[in-house]
Amino acid sequence: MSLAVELGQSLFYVLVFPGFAFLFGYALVAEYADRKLYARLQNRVGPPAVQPFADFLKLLSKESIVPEDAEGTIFEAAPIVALAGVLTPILYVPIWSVEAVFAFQGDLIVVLFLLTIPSFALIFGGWHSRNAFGQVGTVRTLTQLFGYEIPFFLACLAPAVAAGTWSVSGIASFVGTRPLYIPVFAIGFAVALLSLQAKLERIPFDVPEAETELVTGPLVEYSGRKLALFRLTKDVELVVGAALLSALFLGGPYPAGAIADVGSTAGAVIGFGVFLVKTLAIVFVLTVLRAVLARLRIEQLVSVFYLWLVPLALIQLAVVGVVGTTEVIP
Amino acid sequence: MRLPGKLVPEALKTLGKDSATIRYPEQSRSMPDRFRGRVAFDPDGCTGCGMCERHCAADAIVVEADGSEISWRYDESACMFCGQCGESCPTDVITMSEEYDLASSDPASFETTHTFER
Amino acid sequence: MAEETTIPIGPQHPSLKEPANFELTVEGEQITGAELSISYNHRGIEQAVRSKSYLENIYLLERICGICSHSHTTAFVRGVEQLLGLSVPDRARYVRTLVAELERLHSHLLWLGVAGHEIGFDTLWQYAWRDREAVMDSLEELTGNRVHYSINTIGGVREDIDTETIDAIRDRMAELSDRIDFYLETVPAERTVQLRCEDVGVVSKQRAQELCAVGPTARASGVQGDVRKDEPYAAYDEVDFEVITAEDGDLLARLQVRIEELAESVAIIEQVLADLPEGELKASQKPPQALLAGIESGDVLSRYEAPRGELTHFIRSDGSDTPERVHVRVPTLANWPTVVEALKGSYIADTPIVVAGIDPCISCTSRIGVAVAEDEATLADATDSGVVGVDESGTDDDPGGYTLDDLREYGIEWYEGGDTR
Ligand code: SF4
Ligand code: SF4
Repeated sequence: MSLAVELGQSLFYVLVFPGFAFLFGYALVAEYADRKLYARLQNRVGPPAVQPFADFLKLLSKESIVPEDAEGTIFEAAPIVALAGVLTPILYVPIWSVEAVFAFQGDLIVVLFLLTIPSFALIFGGWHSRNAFGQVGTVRTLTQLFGYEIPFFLACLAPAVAAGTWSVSGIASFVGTRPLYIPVFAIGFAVALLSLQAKLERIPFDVPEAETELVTGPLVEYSGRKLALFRLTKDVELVVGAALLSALFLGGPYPAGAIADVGSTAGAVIGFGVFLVKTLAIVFVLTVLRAVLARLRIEQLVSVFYLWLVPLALIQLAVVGVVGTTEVIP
Repeated sequence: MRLPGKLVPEALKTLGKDSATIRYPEQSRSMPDRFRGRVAFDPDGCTGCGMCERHCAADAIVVEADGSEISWRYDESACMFCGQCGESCPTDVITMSEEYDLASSDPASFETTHTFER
Repeated sequence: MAEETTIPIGPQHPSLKEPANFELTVEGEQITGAELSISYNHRGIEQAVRSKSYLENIYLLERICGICSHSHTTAFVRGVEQLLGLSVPDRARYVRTLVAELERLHSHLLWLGVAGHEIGFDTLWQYAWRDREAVMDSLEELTGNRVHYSINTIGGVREDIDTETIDAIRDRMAELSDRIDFYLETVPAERTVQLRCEDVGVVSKQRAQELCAVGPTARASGVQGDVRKDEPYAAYDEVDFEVITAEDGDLLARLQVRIEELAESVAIIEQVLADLPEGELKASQKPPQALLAGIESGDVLSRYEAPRGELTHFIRSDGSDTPERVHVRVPTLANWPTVVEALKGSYIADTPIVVAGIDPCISCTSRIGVAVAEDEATLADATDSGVVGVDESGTDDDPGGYTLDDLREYGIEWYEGGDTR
């Protein structure tokens, strides 16, 4: 293969599928699913399918204000950095086959790292907006970050330890070929789901945004284009997070490999279908979670994560260790 | 240990229900018989006695008599839809209609004037 | 120890639907002191009342509040009826009770939703407001309007209730009853709600009494007090109901009390519908102006148990068809001191729900002319000399109050920045 073809293929991966264009579309679909389901859970009609896209366009066309007191450059760069941060990891997460497009040994660490970028971008942007609500919200974002990152990392560690690899693709194929491991990861999966909810700052963990207390906190001064990017970031983060959890805990495209060879076209199509089902199922769970709970206070949130989820994640690691050494699952 | 999530069964049950809200303005609800919307006035039978004006707390009705010519004016932007004018009118020519979507950006459209002979 | 800082909440703040201002002294996330300023929304209703007849004032006073509109009209017309020596027919008393309890239902359901929203529980908010629609529909069918029912008139009520409406309301109440049971079972038991409400905003029984709290706020602290029992009006002496109280005085107790009061209201409505007496709707068939021509001069004080607590209307008549003075004391005013009390020791994040805990109606409160006088003579002097508000510096010789002109001058000065607060 010539260099030009390879370069073209890589560009296609980055810009079209599974990169920017696909993620953009799928993120809006996920937002629609989330909002519609939330509305239906509350017995409302909910938005029409084009609403997320319409909102995005509307925000793009609006004036994007930079407050006088704000640190202009940082304030303006934050949303772009945040979006770039969440767009990249999808290249390391398997979608239609067990192999991600740019898989390499250790990409799990990169993905986890990239997924923290939007939070940091939000912290920088929110702080430098110099708005009182923004700054209080920023402090909360930071406190919350320390709350959920540790259980999230620990939970993601469990399948990595079981598979003996730091590559998301490697873990997906390991779990996919040994589906009996899926129930073993149940605790870790639950911890990761809750941590993801906190990462996304959704009820009951929307403390930094807390509409009734802080009017969306760090985002309060953002408007127009920049707000649109931040909102898109949240949607993409939701999709990427769901894709990551599905690859780590649910075996990625499994059972596509069992039905048709994952390398073949049929396998890829089935694998992609499985990807959609699994990610939307995760979105479903996260939406129900946000519908049935009240917001916690920041110190309650931290104690939930430290007193409950960290120990649970450690128990999960112990379970994986026991299962691994006793070799009950072939 | 008390776990959260008491509302989960109810929330999932709600998924199967018809939604409680409708898409206004494509759809709208119907008003009950007693609904008090915009004041409807029928000049036939009005004696120009001015009771409606006298009992209107919002000063939304003004009745003026010039000889045998009566002018009856109603400002729906001032009206608070209490229905007292209808109740006070001795000849029952004032009724409360079902009209409720009265918003308009043209102030002149709020005024109604009837001029007639007694 | 963390340093003390002062943070202002309001007058413009997302959790406040109307303007009020709290100066919170905080140490870290904890509130150590709070000061309250109100009256950002002065509407001059009490002044306007003096230029309208008693009949028109019913509709004017109804608009003090968009939630307890029936409370204001009932309190007012009861006072006027007392001045006129009218006795209200039985059927009218029952209809008033019916609307009053429907109003309590919709007000408490509204609060339940708002409380849910304040703690980030939007689904509860949507459910409570959906179920509230059944009450709103009943009120609309019965009276003609969802908000300002305008069903009271001097000496009775304006609209009758027919069997069709009775059946419709009965059906809705049966359904609502199930929903109330559901709320009672799930909401106070939901762990995240408990985390946000348990031991938050506590007001002890003693403090509630000292601060003169009223309504559900006081009852949740264990204070027995309900005008419907203490000084029955309308048909409350003929229906059977319980005054709901709780001991803890925290937000969870208030939640519990309000939900249980919903059930009591449904029970009252069922009794009213079952025992509705036949008969006239108005005490007199005379036209209102003829009726009002016979009004005596004198003072009355009318008490009423509004959804938020005791409401009083003071009416002074000079024998003409317009009142000389009407003063309204809304329950929110009585409950504000408990908020200041409850905020101390809470977390900053609790502020919205603690403030919402008394179900405040802020613009209703913004109508105060506080009269503080050493003795009755001073107060009478003050009123005779055209004084509309008396300040504390008053002495026997000089009532030290404000006349209307003084107030106008003060207002102009205030707004022109003479007082740079
Ligand atoms: S409905 Fe009430 S406010 Fe409107 S015109 Fe009639 S009396 Fe006046
Ligand atoms: S009260 Fe009736 S009859 Fe008299 S002026 Fe008004 S509309 Fe005419």
